[in-house]
Amino acid sequence: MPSASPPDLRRRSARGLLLAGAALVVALLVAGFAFGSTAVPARTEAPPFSLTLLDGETTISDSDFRGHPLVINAWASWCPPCREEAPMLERVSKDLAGDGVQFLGVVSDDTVADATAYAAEAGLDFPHALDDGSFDAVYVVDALPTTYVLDANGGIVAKHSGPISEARLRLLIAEAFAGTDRGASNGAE
Amino acid sequence: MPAIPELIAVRGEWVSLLIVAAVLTISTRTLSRLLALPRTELGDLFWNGGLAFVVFGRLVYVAIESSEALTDPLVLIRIQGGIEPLAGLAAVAAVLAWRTRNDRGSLLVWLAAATAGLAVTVVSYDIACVARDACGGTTAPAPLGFTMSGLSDTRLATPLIEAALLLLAAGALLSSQLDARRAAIALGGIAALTRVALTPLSVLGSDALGLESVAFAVLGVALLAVAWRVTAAEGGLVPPTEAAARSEAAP
Repeated sequence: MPSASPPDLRRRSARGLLLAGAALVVALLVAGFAFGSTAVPARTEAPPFSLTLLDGETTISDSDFRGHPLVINAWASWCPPCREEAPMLERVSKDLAGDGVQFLGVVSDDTVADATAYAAEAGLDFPHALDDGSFDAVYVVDALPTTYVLDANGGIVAKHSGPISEARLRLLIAEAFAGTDRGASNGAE
Repeated sequence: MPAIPELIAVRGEWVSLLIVAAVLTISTRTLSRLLALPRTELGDLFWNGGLAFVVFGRLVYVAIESSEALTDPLVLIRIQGGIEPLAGLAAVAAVLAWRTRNDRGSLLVWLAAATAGLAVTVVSYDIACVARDACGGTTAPAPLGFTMSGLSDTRLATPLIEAALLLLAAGALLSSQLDARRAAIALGGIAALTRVALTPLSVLGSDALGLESVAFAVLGVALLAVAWRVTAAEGGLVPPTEAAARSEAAP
């Protein structure tokens, strides 16, 4: 015996679902036309943070990195995509060190021992700090890895959830320099 | 040990799960009427299935990625790392098997209920990407892609595209002559295949295609085959005893 659902309810449900789907499609197209510009969006100021490095002794804060672009990479030793992008991060950090670009690893949901061992194994020379929850609370790490690029004035250029390509990372760092220049000129005005 | 305020801090993932739970609860009444199933039993299935999906999916995810983290008592709470969806679906299948252990004849009926619930879950979780700042897919030129989350390039809102496609598919299936239960099973198959088709458009791109995609493809084809076969077999979906009794008792 086939099931029977009230025809009116079925018609209304079908109409509602089709309308909702169509509305979502229209909303996406409207957003595409309205926010399709590739103009650099307004920067929001990076929230302050204070973390302890994996050595367990050194404390660092956001103010230690002001004056130069900063790349913050949230990672964990058990996270395969984090491991995948680690060599690229190390390569770019060394390549751009002369330009004053700083890198900071923030270890999320991991142990000090595992993170330290992996950082040594992968040859990650830039500093790494353990997130005690305070970083995630304000930066909201939705996925691992997540990369934040900050300009020299402490403005967030971008938050990138998931693995980041070298090309995109370099692009965002270039934007960080551009943002720094804009910030400097705005300050001069 | 994290401080209590950190544990109860509003997280995007938790907000998403709350949105899914709310939408499932609200839609239970309509689904129970569409599928001609007792509302309370449908609600129980959604609750038990949802809980099994999250708990088992999370445990398997952590076991695969970092088994030593399983000793962490907070491993279930910190869901930001992820949930293994196939493991979650296996847990839902186990709930279904338990639910129909004394009445295997009603398995397809409850499968239809479960796939309808999963479709609602996928759509509401996709739309909740706005709450967890995770709508961004692969890069694409405007107007297909647009700037989001402070990024300066333009990206497809892939989760929202998936939600739109599933809403349209659900509407089309309900508009068709297909029985609501068969339509629900077919929608489950379409949802699985849509997930595979949209994977290259996710933030991870085609690199995300793998065994999981194969499993979803197999699941999608299997559900469509089930929907087609029970459509071909007249009376393939026998309503459960409880529903029949209730419908007889209804005025």
